[in-house]
Amino acid sequence: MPELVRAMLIWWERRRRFREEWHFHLSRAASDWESLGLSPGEARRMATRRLGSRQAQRREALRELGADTRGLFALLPIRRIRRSPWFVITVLAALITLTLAVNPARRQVIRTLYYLLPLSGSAPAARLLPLSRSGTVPAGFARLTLWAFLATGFARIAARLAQGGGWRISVYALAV
Amino acid sequence: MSKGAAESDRGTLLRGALDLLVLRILASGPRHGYAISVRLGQLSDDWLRIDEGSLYPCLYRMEARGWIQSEVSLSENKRRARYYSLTSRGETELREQTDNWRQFSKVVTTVLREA
Repeated sequence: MPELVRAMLIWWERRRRFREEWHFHLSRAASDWESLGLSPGEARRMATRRLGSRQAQRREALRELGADTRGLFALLPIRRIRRSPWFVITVLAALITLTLAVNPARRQVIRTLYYLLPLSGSAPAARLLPLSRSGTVPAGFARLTLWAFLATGFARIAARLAQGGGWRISVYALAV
Repeated sequence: MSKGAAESDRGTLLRGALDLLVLRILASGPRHGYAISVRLGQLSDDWLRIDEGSLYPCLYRMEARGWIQSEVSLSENKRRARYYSLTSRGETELREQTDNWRQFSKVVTTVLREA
């Protein structure tokens, strides 16, 4: 688990680095354009135009930094994780939970869940999932699932620490 | 040829030589990404102009290859910025790429003159 967290932190740091450099470049360019007499709005627009297509550059830059999805998988201790019997279950649960949390309004997720859950029809699934009238997951539930996911993660770290380092460390980790 | 097409052609030319130009600019001292793009514009009289954003993939690629290194420092306006500098491997690479480019340029000039 610590390796997993470390990998995520490195990945996140790389993405933050790119964001910082991009913003720095944009603000310096905008202030230079302003000093040439452009209004703040025009200066910002000019700086953005000179910087180019954000999406295309971002994709390429993140790939070079190893901060895209492929970079994340390269950082993760995949071999060790795959040996665990909980691997498939954890990955599936994490994907479902995160998809629900990030995209609470997507009906497609719910439909996919109907197929994944061992239920015959949509009615029993609807009873399990607190859907709104329009058939989407309410934002509150999505938030709750995300927090539950994080809490489970912390609990697992605490349990691992408790095994190796005594109960005091686990209590400390839970408190943090 | 339209102005946009001409700029696009120049962009293609520059992309092919971007590594070399950035290495040369960094040989004169550490700079952040924006300063590199400004210097590139100054030296080429804005003739060589690409989307400034495409400088960053180039910088990250060269850093991964060990040609340049970076560290966060305060910029001239007291803001945190990442400064890039040349490594010894980068200096070697710069020499090799410069020689290759001179050879290439010489050959192309000869062909254009004598063909």
